[in-house]
Amino acid sequence: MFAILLFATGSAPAADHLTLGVGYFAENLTSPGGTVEGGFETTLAGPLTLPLRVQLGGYHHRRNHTGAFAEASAGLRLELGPVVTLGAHVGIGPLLTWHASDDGVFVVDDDGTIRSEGNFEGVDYAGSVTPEVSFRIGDGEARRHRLWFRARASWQRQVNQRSLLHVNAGIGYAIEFRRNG
Amino acid sequence: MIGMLGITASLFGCHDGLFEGGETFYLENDGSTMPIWVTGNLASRVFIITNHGGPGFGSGLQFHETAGFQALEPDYAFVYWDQRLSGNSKGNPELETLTVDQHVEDLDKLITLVQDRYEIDALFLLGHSWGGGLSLEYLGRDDNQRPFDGLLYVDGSIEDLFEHQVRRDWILPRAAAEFEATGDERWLEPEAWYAANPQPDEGDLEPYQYIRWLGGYVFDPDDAASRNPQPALRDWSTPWSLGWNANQYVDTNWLAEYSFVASTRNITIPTLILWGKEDGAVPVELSQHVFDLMPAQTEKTLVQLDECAHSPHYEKPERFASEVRSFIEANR
Repeated sequence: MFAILLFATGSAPAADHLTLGVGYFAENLTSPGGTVEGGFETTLAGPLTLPLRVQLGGYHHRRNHTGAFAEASAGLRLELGPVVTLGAHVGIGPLLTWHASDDGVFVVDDDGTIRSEGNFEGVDYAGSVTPEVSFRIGDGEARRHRLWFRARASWQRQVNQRSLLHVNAGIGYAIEFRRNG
Repeated sequence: MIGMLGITASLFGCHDGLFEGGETFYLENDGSTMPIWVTGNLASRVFIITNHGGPGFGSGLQFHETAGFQALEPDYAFVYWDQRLSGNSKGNPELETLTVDQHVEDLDKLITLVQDRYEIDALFLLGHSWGGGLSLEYLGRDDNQRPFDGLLYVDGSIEDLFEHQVRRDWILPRAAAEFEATGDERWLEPEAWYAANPQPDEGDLEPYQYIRWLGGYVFDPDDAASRNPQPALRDWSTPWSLGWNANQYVDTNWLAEYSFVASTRNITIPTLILWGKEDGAVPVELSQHVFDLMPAQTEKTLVQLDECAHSPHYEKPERFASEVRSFIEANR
């Protein structure tokens, strides 16, 4: 499929570059959060590039949990002409979670004594898959700005003897820094 | 596009709209961290602690989504909680902790915590489905009934093996009638399954599937849905993790051959037994069985609802609220 698109698009290859970006991160689609990210992207062949990304993010899912994560990911991005790119990333990283409590976490001892614990839930590792579509903004050589949309599925292990699926959506902005640009 | 919808929902305040107010805190016990949401009229000092069904695929917060509970929340305080490996409970408890005794211990500690945190003049325990069985088992032990003013027992579990006999008697004639009416060979499957599995227990999930096919969970889904309007983007804006819907722990083998009969014989507090006549999961014959098991001197009332299956609070919310309110006002 990628090979077909390589010939079909015929756009110029992007130079290797660094990227920085910020995004709105919606856990469960409606629980708010944010991300910052940095990355390096190199051309593989024609319009196909290999983006490597490190992302830091956080969100709050009310009455459920608050999460903070760091993730390293690698992906493929395909330039569909001068404006549109399609891509997908796979990533992995730690997810720190806190119980979304108004007051706290309590332990009741067998003798009835009540102790208060902190809200911190723990650190788990989460793997993710993130499809992306992005749009270059600007004209000509100055087209270094991208608006991206992502849907992200990640699996937190281990909760209740299961992997816990998280579904997130995001919108964000990234700028590319090229050596000659 | 989906992302934009989500963002729009956040910006315009749809988020969590059904679950406003109240107070959320957690009980941590033996590897599980279980959320507790106390909401409703806390100033009434009348508290109703609820035990949800399931287990695994149930959540206490689901009570709040029904019109029956929402009709009562302006008058009374409700304690909704999620049992271990259910709903929004977290942690990673060992599967060996999935026992009735462990659930009784969790409930006991939850009650201790709630009593410590709030000024309570009247206290009731409400259990639905498996949560009804848990309520019986808890109250029937030691002196656990002492702080309670009454039990609300709604289409509850009582005795696994006997329930399976009654379920079979509920399923087979209805499936045969469906086959007669439609000629669809799917309706032959229950009889074949029961022929191959003459002694089913809680670990067998097929009977529950047949009950679902036959409308034994919700008698009239369209009517029930109209009585319980849900907000737009409901699945994307609730407190639950989508992952819980997608990957619940639903192996109920640990409940196989449960029996709450001995504890039921110990119930002495006033009890309202509320049941849907069309319930296929816990057929209505069992409501009389529970009523008869309770001591004769216990102040007990049995109410059976027409055109209602497993969840009166969802299917007949007005009648549910009316019966519960009358019971509480008579016993507070």
